[in-house]
Amino acid sequence: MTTRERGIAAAQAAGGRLRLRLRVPGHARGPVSLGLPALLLAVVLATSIGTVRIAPLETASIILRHLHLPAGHASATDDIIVWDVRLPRVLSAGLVGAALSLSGASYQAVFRNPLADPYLIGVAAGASLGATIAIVSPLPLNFYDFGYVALFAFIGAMAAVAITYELARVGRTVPVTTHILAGIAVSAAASAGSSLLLMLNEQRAFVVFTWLYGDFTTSSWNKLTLVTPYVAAAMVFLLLCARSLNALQAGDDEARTLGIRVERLKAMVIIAASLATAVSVAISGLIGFVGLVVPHACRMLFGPDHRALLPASMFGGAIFLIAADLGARTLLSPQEIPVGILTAVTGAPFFLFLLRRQRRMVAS
Amino acid sequence: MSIPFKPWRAIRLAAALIALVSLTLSAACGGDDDASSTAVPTTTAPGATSTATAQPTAAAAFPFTFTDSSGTAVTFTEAPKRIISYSPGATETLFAVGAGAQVVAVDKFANYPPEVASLPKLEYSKPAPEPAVALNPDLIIMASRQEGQVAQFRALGLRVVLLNEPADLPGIYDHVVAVGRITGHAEKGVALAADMRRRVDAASARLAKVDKGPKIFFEVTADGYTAGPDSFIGSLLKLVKATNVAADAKTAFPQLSTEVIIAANPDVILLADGGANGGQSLETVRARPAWGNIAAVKAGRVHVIDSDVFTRPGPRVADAVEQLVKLLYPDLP
Repeated sequence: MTTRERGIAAAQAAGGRLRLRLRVPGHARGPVSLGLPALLLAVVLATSIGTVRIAPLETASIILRHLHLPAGHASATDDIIVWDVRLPRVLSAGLVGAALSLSGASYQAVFRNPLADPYLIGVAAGASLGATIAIVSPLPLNFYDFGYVALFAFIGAMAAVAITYELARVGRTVPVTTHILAGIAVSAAASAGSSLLLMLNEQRAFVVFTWLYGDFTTSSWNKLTLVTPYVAAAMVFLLLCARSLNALQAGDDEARTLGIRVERLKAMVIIAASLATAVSVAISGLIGFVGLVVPHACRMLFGPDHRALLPASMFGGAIFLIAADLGARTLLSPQEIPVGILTAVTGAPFFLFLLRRQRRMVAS
Repeated sequence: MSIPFKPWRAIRLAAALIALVSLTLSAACGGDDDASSTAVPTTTAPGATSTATAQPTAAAAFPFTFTDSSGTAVTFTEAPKRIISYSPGATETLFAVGAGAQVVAVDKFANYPPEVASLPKLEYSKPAPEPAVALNPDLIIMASRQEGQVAQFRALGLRVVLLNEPADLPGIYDHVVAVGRITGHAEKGVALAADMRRRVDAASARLAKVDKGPKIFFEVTADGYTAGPDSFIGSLLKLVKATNVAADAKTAFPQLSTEVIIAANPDVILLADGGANGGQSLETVRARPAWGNIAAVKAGRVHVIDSDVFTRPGPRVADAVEQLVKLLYPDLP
């Protein structure tokens, strides 16, 4: 039997043994049935392509062998490249992309504002300040594991979100405009702090910049296995809030009459989305446009019903960022383009296109 | 009709998912972590600086254990044959001690000696591991810019030596000796370090009778960034007894305002941003408003220097010192 035939036989045997009876809710069926195979295809493609030429079948056999399934043989170097370098990187890009776009869609729902993105209420500036503090301090620099830089970035992000929330709170409610303004103020203060630290420690400035641009160069299984449970939990929670977020679009008071505890819903959605974003930023730096543009694109394709929009954003974000990261490491090989630049370069024209559509709709 | 919001159901489901995902991932990957981690020998106390102690004899060149800037003890049983150097300074040193033929790739900023032009160039800031792994190196030399990725490359089974840029001249001599030893050119390394020391000492000796040197402004960028006393260049300026305009600065590369520079009235201005680096020259400096009154500009003592030679702590540092003496003391016998 060839490697290919053995692989196919193994997959069929596994599928037969796992008789999964998972009921996908009606509205999510479209996005899931499109998104899941597309995501798997993206993962397989992205793992097979890179600076070093490795045949796709060899890539598949390396992955199968690590999953303790029968497979052919590959050289030690190729094995390291596929399993230890590329696969965690591709999966990290997928996870971060899904988290950022799902958070973005959730923020857009909670703030009822199409310009909301995951970095709106202080996550970006807080994470930057935390990372800067860690990088300029004498603490050891290790980007490969969830080290001090990632930890401080996460703490900084969540602290900024908490401070913003407290600043904006009026009694037991948090008015949307106040919340956004508080986010701008906290972000400005945190940015000023980062700049001051950088000025006093210029020899570390470049290290900070490369962290800020955002990239998946230092992806590892350690980081991925550590953060996935938390990000996955936050994402599942957000997905389950879809119906309530639908009701929220009619307005706070209207949602209240439908029995939704509006302030509690908003607080928990913000916490979950911020958590997912903060953890993503901690492992990959600041990658913009994913949380802003992908939900809009999915809204155009699947409509504004969050029961379809949220899963669609998740898959869309994952595929988008996997593709962007693939471009980042292959377009100018062996040099790497910061993935945030690629997301901006593709995101900005799309945003202009959205704006034109909006203007035409308003004019007609 | 109410749309229920049941957080507890969500939280239970989330907790179950955390458990399931953690179990799956640790089962799939737990075993591999041990297998793929490389056997790097015992870590000594952190903060140990790189040392190459007594002059080794040719017969005892290998095996030996070297402690790098990360405090890790790296063992060498034979001279490495496929070296990747991510530090331009280390690259110059490698070629200077005769290990050029053993280098297979350098970083993209390496431009000296001319032989590096034909070598593959790799990313300098946050290099990707894949191109490095594909080159099958048996030694990777990293410097402070790549410090955050030493653990990553080691975990992929590569032998990495972290050689942070030396901060002073004795550090450079040690660096040269260490690189020579690691690459199997111990004698050449020792000889080169001795020669550098001789040249620097000779240059200093010529200044023996000088009490105070000229006041100097070392321009890094046209908007006032200069080298403070804590920088490597600052230490060279101190060595040649020049008074640095930025002598009171607290950081290594402070930015001074124009009025401070004019008030200090330096006798000599050195431009690290001349030519291809920033296009500055005596003419452009003279054209700057208010700079025309500075003693250095009036006397025409504004010189463009090769910033690579002055900022890379490597074998050309002796050139830098000799050039400094020539520029600052043109009338010295």
